[in-house]
Amino acid sequence: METVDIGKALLQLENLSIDYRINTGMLSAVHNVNLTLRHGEIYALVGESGCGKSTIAHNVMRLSIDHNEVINGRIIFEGQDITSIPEPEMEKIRGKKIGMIFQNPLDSLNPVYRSGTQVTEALMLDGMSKKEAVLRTIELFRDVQIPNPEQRIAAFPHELSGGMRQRVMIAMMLARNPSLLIADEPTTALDVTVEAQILRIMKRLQQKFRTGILLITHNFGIVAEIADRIGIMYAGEIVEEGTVFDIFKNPVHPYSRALLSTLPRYHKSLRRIAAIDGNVPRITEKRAECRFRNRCPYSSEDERCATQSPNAVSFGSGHIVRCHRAEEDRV
Amino acid sequence: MSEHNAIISIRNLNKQFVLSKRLFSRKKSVVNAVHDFSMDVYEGEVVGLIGESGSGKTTLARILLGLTEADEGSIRIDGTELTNAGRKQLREIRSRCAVVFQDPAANLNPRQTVESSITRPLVITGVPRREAKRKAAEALREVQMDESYLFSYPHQLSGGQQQRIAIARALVMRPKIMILDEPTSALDISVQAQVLNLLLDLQEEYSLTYLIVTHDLSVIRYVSDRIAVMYMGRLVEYGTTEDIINNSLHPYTKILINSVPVLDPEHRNNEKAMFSGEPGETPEKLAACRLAQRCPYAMQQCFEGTPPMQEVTPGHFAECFLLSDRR
Repeated sequence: METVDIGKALLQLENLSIDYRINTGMLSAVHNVNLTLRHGEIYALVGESGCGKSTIAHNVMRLSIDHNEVINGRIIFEGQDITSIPEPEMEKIRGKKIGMIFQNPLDSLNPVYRSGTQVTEALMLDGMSKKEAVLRTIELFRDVQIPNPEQRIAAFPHELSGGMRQRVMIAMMLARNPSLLIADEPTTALDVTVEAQILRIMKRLQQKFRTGILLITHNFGIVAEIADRIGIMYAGEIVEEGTVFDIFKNPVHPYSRALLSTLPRYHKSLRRIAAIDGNVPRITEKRAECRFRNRCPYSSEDERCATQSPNAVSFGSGHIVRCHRAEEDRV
Repeated sequence: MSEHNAIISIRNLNKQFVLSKRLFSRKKSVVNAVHDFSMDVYEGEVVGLIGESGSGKTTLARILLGLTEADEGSIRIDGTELTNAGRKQLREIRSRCAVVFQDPAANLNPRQTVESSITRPLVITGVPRREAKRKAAEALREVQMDESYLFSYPHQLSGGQQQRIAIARALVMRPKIMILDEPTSALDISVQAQVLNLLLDLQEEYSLTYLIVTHDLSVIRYVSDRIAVMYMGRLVEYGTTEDIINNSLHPYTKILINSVPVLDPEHRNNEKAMFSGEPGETPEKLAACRLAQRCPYAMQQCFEGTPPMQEVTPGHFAECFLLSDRR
């Protein structure tokens, strides 16, 4: 096991709640999320679709300009509260200090510009001359292991494969050397052999430049491979948080346990997988209750599940669980 | 399971797609989507066909369904030759061979209720409407959904429910064979497990034959009796799930299995053998190993000839020059 030097806080979310006005009321997408990501750390937010993990990522970058969105709580980046700073201030942070890569690189690259041009453009924003920028781009392409970088800078996005496009995205993000990288499902669109290459590149970045990475994914395999800490999200809340070993070896919340047991594992061939019945609810009415209640096997045993929101219970250093049952078993 | 009755039998199948090199140019390039492909699927077994994007696995599934025409070779489905079948025979084969596609939202008609989606194949084959409606309700129960969903529209259902409807629609014709093209890759993990369990229950109950096409090794290893590994249009290895996962012979299979993230953080730093390059990089010559440019063990002969398919242990086939040396 390697030790990642865990430094001071890079990104903090404090009681972050995000709601959307919809015609029947308010939809609670993210509820009371607290999270700390340190320099040089890979923090994975894991959950099923609709749990709010991408909503958090987009709001840290302030990419959503939805007037029906209501944000409460604070987003603190490098000690500065960026929740309500004016847009020109945010522009200095977005891209420069916080980089982001998305699931489908073809949507994020401009199809009418050559891939190299899009990276040199980012470099020239920082006042580099064109000549220098081109040389630096070639160097960056080499960093993300694009073969023949001198030729590839002239290629249009459609001439590149999915893996190559994602590498261009990573190079573009790296060009401005941000201290935080948000990776929203970075390998979901890629084949496994290519996924393994991209994960290795991300791991190397974290070790070489001490980049903090907020990894948004639903794939536990990737998490087991590169994450340091994990937050498990369900219906807008982080229900359990801990190191990758806490979560994989000793999951406490019924949802985390159920989720881990649904994974078709390699060493088992029982021909049946444990499934979680039911679906993730849409929360349009905030009530004091546990949001996992309707799918939880234990909720009938405890009346508090229907009447109180569970508190965060600490299970030793950094392992936090929100469940009424955990309050009794606390160590 | 009757082991020796091949319900699907594919022999030397070829399919090429011709592309223009540039828009309006006369220069053409050829993609061998399926290249000299032979394989048998026995009655009542679950066969997983695995490959990366561009390996030709979906083209193969489409040829089996009669949606794409093959250039050469033969396919026998349940005793009927597909490649020169007439309209009537084709219709009959299709009623015995059902399909479930990857994206459930895209293959249900958004303007039709669940009931009309499920009854449609029955009505087309001349089943009276009343009878068809009764069967639709029954099919819905079989996929563990309430009958009240019969009058819902697809957008009112979740992804898992939509996929169940697609399965119900496939089942309603009482097929012998089901071709499942990435049946769970659009679903969340907890729902994926529900759908896989349902598929396995149905397979046992009606002794169906499944051909599951996917790129997800963890799913396929879990449900299949046998696994076929495809790379750039060719079958590179075929054997029981046990053979493929624990005793894989072909370098491609080995590295594919190695690339899948292990669900255990304690094994995260094991140095992995990895491929350079990406699928799609193949030698210029057609008669060469398709993997030669990416393979860490590539030798001169790999670029000069196609490796022979060999039965290394009974029922375990692989094509690689390294294996001929060993024998």
